[in-house]
Amino acid sequence: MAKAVEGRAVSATQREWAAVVQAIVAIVGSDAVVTALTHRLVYQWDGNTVFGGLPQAVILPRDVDQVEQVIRILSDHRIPWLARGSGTGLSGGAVAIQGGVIVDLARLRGPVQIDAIGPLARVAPGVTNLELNRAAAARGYFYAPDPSSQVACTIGGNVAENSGGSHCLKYGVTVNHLLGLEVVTASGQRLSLGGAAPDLPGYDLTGFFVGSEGTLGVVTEATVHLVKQPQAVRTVLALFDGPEQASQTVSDVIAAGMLPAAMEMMDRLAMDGVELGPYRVGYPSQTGAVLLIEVDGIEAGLPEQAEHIVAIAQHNGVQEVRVAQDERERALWWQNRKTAFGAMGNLSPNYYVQDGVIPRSRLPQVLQQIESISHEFGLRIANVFHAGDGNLHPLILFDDHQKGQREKAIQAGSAILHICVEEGGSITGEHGVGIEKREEMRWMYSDEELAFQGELRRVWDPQGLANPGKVLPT
Amino acid sequence: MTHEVFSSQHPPLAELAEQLAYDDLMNCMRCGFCLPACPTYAVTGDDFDSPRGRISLAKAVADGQLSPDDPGFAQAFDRCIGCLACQEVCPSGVQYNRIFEQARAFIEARRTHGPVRRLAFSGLFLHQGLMRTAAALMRFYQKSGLQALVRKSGVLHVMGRLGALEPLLPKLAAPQRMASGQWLLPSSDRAAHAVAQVQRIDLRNRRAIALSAPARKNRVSSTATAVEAAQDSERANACLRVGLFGGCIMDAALSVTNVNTARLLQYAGVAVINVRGQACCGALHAHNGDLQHARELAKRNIAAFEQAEVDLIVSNAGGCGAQFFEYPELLQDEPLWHARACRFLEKVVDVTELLDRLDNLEGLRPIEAVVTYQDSCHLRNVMGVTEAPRKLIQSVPGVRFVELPEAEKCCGSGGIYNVTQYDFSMQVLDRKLAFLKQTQADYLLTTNPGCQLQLAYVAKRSGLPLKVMHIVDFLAQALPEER
Repeated sequence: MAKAVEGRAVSATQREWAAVVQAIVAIVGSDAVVTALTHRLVYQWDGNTVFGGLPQAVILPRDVDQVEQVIRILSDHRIPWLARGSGTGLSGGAVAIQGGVIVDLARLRGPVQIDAIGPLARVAPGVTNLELNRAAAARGYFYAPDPSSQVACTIGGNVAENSGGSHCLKYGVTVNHLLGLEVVTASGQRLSLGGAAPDLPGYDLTGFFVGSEGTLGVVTEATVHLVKQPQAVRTVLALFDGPEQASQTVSDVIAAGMLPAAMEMMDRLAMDGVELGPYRVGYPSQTGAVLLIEVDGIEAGLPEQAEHIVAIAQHNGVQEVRVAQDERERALWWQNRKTAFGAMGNLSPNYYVQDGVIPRSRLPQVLQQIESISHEFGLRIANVFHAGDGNLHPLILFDDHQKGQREKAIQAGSAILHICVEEGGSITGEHGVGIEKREEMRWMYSDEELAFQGELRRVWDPQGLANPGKVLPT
Repeated sequence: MTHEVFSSQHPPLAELAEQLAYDDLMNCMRCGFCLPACPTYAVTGDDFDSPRGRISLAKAVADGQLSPDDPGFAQAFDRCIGCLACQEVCPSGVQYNRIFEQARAFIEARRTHGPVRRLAFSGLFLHQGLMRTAAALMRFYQKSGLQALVRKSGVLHVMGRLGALEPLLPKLAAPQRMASGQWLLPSSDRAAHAVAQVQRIDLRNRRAIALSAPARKNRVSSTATAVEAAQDSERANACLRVGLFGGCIMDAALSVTNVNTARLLQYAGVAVINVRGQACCGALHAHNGDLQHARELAKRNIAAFEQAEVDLIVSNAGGCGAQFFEYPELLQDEPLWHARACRFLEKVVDVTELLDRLDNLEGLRPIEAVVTYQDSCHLRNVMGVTEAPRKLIQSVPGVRFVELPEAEKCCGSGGIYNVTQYDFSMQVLDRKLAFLKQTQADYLLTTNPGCQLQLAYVAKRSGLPLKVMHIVDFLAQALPEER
């Protein structure tokens, strides 16, 4: 077979590399060390759709001790590595752009331990967000951050990316629900950060670690805060002529003093995608935007809140508005919304998603600008938003087999982020910086501020081995 | 970044790239929503054993990154059970079944198989008669004491993984078979109800079956012995006429299930015929890369059921029913056959789906028992039948139904997967066993012979006091005594 063009070769010599592999096999067993090219090929991507990179090896440890020993060896031999969970991230965080080793934590998925007094849960990094939520639900609780990929994404990855989700409007993102972490740092040191007790003295290292995108080390256990399941939920689906009326409805709901658990919007093109997927709602063809609003809390007063929302939607010229009649209908609406990214496959061979944040009130103007970008680059753009907190997910459709389209899509994405920053927002809401937004970090921070972040990173990872080439601009 | 791992115009590569459903491959957005649905990923946690991983390898082959002769490529698809749970949850509608079948066909075409498998695929499964002979030999093996002798002898250990599976063989009863080509007629009052019920049938939005006074020819048979049959046929015209698909393994090894299927359908008010000239559905062939024989079998079945002039074609094995869904595509290069395959498919219905729609089983006797149910992957993921079996079980008086956790996940049987990938299959099964114990059920019911054998095996191996049977056999126990 023809020789592989690897990512930049690791610093180890061939002989040293063979010794490293042998030492790791001795720890984790040969079935947990992947070096065959074909097998590695499946690890050249994560959930992002534009950046790939071939790892030199993939290690699948089974427990914390193995993780620690493996990272020690990698550190001793100065071999770059990165942690991976389910590989659903959207900014390339789990792609080995510089080669090196992937440490896959999917096998660390022991049972979720729930402490009802907290209420809190101790979770292994390879447990999926949905598995945690199922375990919590059995005891009457839930874990609030709910990224759309929650069926597959792992808690370790959620911590690394500080994941949000549809319900973070009311409940906050991962960092708001983390009490403590067990981690192995890039130099192979095991540390306990934070803990079950509130307001621990000293620096908030848990807060620092969350959202570090694998550049400081790897999570081996997370202690998370659980929330009592609300007594009741009402979910409203409102269909509008276009995003303007839907946006106005979002603003009016907030202005009326309500704090819904979630407010989600999709434009026509996004609807076209999900309607071809497995969870079809049946949106009428003349609908230009759909709004999904959920309120929760104690039963008393909730029907009135839902009615109030319906009235606001009607005031804004809604075409049709419905309240979910049962759990089945509610679940369908959510599944329809949550499969939006993957559903782009029904419309286009490839897509590229961006993750900008803007002040909520600027939504209609920003949407118009996104439309001009779509015309300028000649690429269709579908829009999905966490409308309540102004988090945009423009989905730029392209065909990788047409020369130059991928580059155009990346440029269009960057142009959209520029608008977000100009409007007083940010370059990322919840997907992380990863590979794709390193340079855009300069729009957010001065050179001094970035240098300071670099200094902090080096405290945890003096050799620069953990997920190199991510987050900070080079 | 693309890695030109395997460069350019390798002839077999071009061949596979052409064969692979490239549009389906392109649809994969790598979102990973398939991971939690996949039974093999649940075992290893390795993306190589996930649908997303397999698709990426197929794409690497189609893109010229990887040689299709690479052993890793074959291994990835060999390890797939083909349950198609991934397809059911895919947001972008990747037709994984097409990728799977084409990749397997390519891989198998380049392999040389031992004589046993060749004989089985081109002989046994193609000919019902041979299958029956094999079953008769098997019965001899079990009844004659030879089985006990072999078990004691240690020969099975020598046979390796095939030996380990020997206990999986069904205990074969003497054949109890429905005569082929003869109508089994319902009572007239029940028949009227059935006809009324089925007018409203709408199978998973895929088609509405219009049965309003179908124009049926009065068939005049040329053989003298068929006079009586013609009279029966005449009477059957007033009823809903369903043709029973007997299947190969079902017919040979579990033929009592076919008889029970017919009895239940008759009780529910339809006229049943065991259609003459039918063959194996061809699923095993298609999933193991033998598309040529799969086509041949499809044609034989289509012709046989056309000849029988039935309103519906009833299958009692999820795997066979699902294979019928493949017929139109399998025959797409032959327009006439393709059209016939589409008409055939329009009539296909699973026995549980039909019994549920007929809603005509009142009068069943009580069975006091705790009962659980394991979905047949293909019944669930391809035919979309999930509620009907559960409702039917609960329609038996005295039954307490317990949902099996992860009932929707594959048991690891997968046609002959448990033979070709024994270790993997057993790991999938171990997970299933843990959940089975939780249910504390007396009965575990299923809707596919492969699943039934696999689950009976695990119950036996682990000493669980669990009766594993086909849902139809369980329901038949509740049928009132015939007067």
